[in-house]
Amino acid sequence: MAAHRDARSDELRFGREGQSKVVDPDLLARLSGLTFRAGQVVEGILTGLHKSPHHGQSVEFAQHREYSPGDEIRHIDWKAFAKSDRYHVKQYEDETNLRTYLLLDTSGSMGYGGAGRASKMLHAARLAAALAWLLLRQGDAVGLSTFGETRGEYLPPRARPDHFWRLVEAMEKRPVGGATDVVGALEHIAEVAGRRSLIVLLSDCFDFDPRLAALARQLRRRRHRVVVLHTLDPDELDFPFKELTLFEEMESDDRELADPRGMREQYLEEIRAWCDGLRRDLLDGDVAYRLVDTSVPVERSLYDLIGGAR
Amino acid sequence: MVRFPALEFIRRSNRKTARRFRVKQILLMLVRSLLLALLAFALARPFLARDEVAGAVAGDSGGSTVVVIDAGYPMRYVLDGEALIDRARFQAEALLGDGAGQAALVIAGDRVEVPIDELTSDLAAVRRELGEVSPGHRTADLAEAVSRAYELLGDVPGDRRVVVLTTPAGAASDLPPPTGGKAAPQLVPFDVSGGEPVGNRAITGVDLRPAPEVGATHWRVDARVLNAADTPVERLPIRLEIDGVVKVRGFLSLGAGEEAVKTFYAPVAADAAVTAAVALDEDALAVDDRRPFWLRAAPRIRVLAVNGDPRPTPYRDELFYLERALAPNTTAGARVRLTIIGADTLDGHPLDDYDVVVLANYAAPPPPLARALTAFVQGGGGLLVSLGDRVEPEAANLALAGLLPRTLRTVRAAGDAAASAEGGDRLAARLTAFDRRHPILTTLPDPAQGSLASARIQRYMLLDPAPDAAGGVVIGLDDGAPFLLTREVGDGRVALLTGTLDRDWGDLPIRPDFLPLIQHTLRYLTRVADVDTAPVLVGRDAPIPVEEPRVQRVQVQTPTGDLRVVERPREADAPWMFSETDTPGHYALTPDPPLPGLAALPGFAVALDPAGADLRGRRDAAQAEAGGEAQAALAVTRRTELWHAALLLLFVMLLAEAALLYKRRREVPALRGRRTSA
Repeated sequence: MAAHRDARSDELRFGREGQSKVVDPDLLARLSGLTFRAGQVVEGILTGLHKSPHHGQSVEFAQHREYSPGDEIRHIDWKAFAKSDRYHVKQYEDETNLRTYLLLDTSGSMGYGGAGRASKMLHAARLAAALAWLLLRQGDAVGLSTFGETRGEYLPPRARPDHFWRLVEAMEKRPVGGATDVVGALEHIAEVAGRRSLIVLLSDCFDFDPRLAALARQLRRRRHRVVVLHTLDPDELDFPFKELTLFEEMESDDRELADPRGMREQYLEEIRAWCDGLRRDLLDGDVAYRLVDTSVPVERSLYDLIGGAR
Repeated sequence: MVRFPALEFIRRSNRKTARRFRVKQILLMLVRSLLLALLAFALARPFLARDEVAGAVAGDSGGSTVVVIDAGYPMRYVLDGEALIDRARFQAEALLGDGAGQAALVIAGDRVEVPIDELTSDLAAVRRELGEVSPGHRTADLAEAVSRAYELLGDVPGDRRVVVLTTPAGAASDLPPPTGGKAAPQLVPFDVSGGEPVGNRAITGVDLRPAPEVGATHWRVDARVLNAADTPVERLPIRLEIDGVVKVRGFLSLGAGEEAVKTFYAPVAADAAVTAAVALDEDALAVDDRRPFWLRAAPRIRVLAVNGDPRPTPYRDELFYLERALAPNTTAGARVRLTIIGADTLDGHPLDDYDVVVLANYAAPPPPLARALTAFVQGGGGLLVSLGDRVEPEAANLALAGLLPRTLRTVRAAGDAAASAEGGDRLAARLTAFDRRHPILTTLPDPAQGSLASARIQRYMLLDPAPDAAGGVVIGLDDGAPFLLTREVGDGRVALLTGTLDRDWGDLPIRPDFLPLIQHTLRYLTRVADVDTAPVLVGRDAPIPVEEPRVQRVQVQTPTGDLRVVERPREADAPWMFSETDTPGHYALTPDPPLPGLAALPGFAVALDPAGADLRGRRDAAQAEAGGEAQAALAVTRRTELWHAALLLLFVMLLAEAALLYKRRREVPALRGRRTSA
């Protein structure tokens, strides 16, 4: 299976490396040397999903059983027939391609980036690209749905290596703006994801829609595996402002004058309570939750995510 | 403006912070308002009075009460932040109550005053008069005040007649007892101090005298300090101020109730008069912690010395040592202008230009000169007669019969045949008998231990014993013979030295103490020592110390700044006095109209009567017992001071404000870097 994955990964090309903000060739290069560990990634996150309950066409031999009418003749093991003069059919453990849906939030709030840092959107896109690259190298199918106030481009899951660049292109051309509608994006995925899939949501979840956790749980009940990568900037987590400041909402024209020195503690309490509440609700529904700090390198976030942190 | 995605959290935080901030601001405003209110409350010195006020006039008793309120200067004593006069006013008002009786008021201040002539049922009027009472600067004449109270009650019928005296315990002694037998009014002394200790330290007096032993222009100031308290005091600071400037500082330790003297020495510029004061640090009764007085340079003494035995060799000259002793460059206590003439030029010399005449070894004045000398002395002049070989005792006795303290008899030489029977084999007599109380010797340190006692007198004039002779012996010899005698004649004084002023009869002139002895003798003869610039007591007439005859009218500036004009009395012998001495302090004088070359005159000072300095209880037991019973019957209103508690609460409020202003830093768990479950 390792050879199979290496063969698939070799098909990934970097024809447009250096021209993309989303793709970091060095990062991908580092990830390409970690095939085995990439397999652990899949198992780390996707335990139970990779193994198919269906037995049939596959390359992994499982057992022999006697031929019965209706079995495909091509599955008859002729060597066993030569030895035993009886017809036996080879039965294989089916190892299906994992279907992964990457849901990337491109709302206005994701456009925020602190001093010297990439925006949340860019950071999330880089993380999504790295994850997609890993999965595609393993032969898994990866799809993408970008969304803001309205649904953006939707790319159905494909396992072809060149699908990676289409994903990247879709992420890059998607403009940042508008309000956040995470629930809408999840509802769309719920409609299009036919079988058990991995659904990775990269968003700051600033729509504060209480249906988010319920919908995520609903997807989980449909045997999808849902991972929420809660992407926030350090400024949102630490609120480092000092002077009296007029703050303007990034998804609307709302403004609020605030004295950070007097209300910072309260702000920190508020955002902490919100994050804790969101995390608790998702975990209660067996939905994975991960806070992604955009000041942390993508590679580290990725290792942290797949449980293979160095 | 900052574009920020998490505006929702800022909005929520603002709402909550504003809510909390508003609550905090309201609390802070309440605390600060309370602080201000408490401060005003404490400054007003509030108190609680018990409701069970049952004054002599209150209730249905229908009694008659005369309230005698002490308004002497001791009532300025501040006890627990409140003057005794205020306590007395309050107690008197409480005693009056709201009853239906009759009352009158006697104020014992600088004078005894009865603002309402008779008993009245208009208690509000009495209360108004009470509100006007303020302490004076004298000690109250309580005896007279109580007598006036008895008089007010004298004709009033009724079986309950009370004289209530509000005063410190120490002042309520020696009061006249009520008269009238069983129907006599009841005297109830109220101790305004309420039994609390009323310790006081005061300067009770100042004695001034020149101090030639220290310097030509120095004065010695002896300040008497009383510790009228039940506890001793260690190193009590005391200072001498001249012209408002502290010149000397010192300390004094006093036992409980003890009075001691602190001595200062201070120079005074020649021909100047300066204001001075001895002061303590202020205590509860500040007004008696300072005693003012004036210091002025001693007047110049004009001395005419008649040389009866001039010699060409200076140190053998009769007046050589006297001249050196009175030289202006020596440490003379009184500046002396010495004029020396020969014996033959004395007759006809104008004596009125001099204060003292010295007859040194002068044989005997002729009768006209003797008459002139007698008139001179009787008119206030001084005469010093020293003897010698040239003196003719019989002629001198005759000529100076009315002046000499005793008649001269004969010269006695130590060791000669006539003296051997009485004086033994001694070669020289010594000075052994000193009258320390005599003004000439009072300022000398123990003369028996000084150089005077070591002087050897080989010859001296014996005098006739005269038990009824005028004057007295100041210094005597060891054989009992007088050596220095004085006598007052008319307004003047005479001193007789039975020895010589040179070394012919002894070595006294070369002894160090000869100089102050001569200085003090001359000052005594001119009455310089009598010049007293010590203060007079408040209320007493103060002499106006202006000798300049051109000044017929002076302007007196009182310590309060008021100006008064006083004219010299027309009668030549009448003393020139100023009577409006109600305020202690310095009174300055200026000639009116101004005279050329006489810009300012020495003034005088007025000080408190030290009798009021001791406020401690001195009532006799019987009086105290009677007063106690009466007080119990009258149920004195007790006050509970509230300002102490107000100050304590103020402090607590300050702490509360500090706690509100203190910003506690809350620890908010960090979100960043937290691992979450997947």
